[in-house]
Amino acid sequence: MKKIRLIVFVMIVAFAVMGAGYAAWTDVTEINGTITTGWLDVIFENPISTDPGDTPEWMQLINVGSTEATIARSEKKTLEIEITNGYPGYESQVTFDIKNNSTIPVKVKDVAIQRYYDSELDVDLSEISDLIGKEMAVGETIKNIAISNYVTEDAKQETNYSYAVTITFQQWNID
Amino acid sequence: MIGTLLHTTCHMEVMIIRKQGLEKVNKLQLALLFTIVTISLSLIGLGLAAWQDNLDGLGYASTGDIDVYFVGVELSGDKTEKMGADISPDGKSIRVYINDVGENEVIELYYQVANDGSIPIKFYTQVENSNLGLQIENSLSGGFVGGSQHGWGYTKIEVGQIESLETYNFNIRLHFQQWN
Repeated sequence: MKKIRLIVFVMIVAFAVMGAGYAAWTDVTEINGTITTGWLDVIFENPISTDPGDTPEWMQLINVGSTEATIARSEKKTLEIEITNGYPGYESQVTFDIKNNSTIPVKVKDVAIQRYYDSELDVDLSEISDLIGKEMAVGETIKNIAISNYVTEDAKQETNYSYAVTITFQQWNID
Repeated sequence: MIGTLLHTTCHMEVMIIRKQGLEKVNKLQLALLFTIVTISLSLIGLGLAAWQDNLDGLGYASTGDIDVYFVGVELSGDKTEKMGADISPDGKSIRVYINDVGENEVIELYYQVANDGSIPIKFYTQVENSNLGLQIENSLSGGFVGGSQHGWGYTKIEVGQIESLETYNFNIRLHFQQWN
């Protein structure tokens, strides 16, 4: 009996010393995830003025006002509308497109308008204000958004008036 | 057997007390950790932010002006030696004098106006103090004067019934305004 105990003890010690033991078979599988994010990019396109100043020569004596609409910078984030030589009664309209150049849908979160004049100008920005809440699919373009400009009788001579509109777009799925 | 049970029971109670203590510690630690994380995120401004993009529309409007004054005047008639016309220093008026005029005479006045403004102009005529039966016609060549342009005006004065040896004054006021 003592011998058996001794043998068991020796075997235990031996296995322990040589590091052997009972091990279950194992295997490993992996899931490698890669997420690439898209981008949000909304741009202006196709600005068109109804009075760009290219009137025929016979009209140039009378049609002295002009309205230029340009997209500033290559990012196409800024639309500049410049009325030159305006006078009471002068009116013009600028139309433009807004394109969702993003990889995700967007929606118009906010439209902020700042007017640096009182009653000297009558600028109709309602078509922009109406965009609030509108969703745009990827690649979608809203065409022919119009801004109407009218110089009123309150306008003073040789004076500058201005306004600024900021349209904020946001990913469509977050309020 | 009873002793073993008692021993076991006592041991379990001790363990329960320790676990409760650990839970209290863990809750405190969690609360502290949560607070620190919240404050840290607030301080560094981190949060769940939706992607945004802005488009800016900038509008500028500059107005022009009108600036009209006389730059030349000529008289035409049967007795030009007895008539004359002077432009005031500021160019805003013309003084016309005609002497020894008789009935049914016709005096023609040609004047040149300059528009130094940028907006085309036209005018309408207002005759004041005309009590001698004058027939006055006034017109602007082409109907308007463009910005930075000169234009010729024409006034025709037909004398009606007048008294001899009298002096008659009259004013012709030209109201210039933008052409539209």
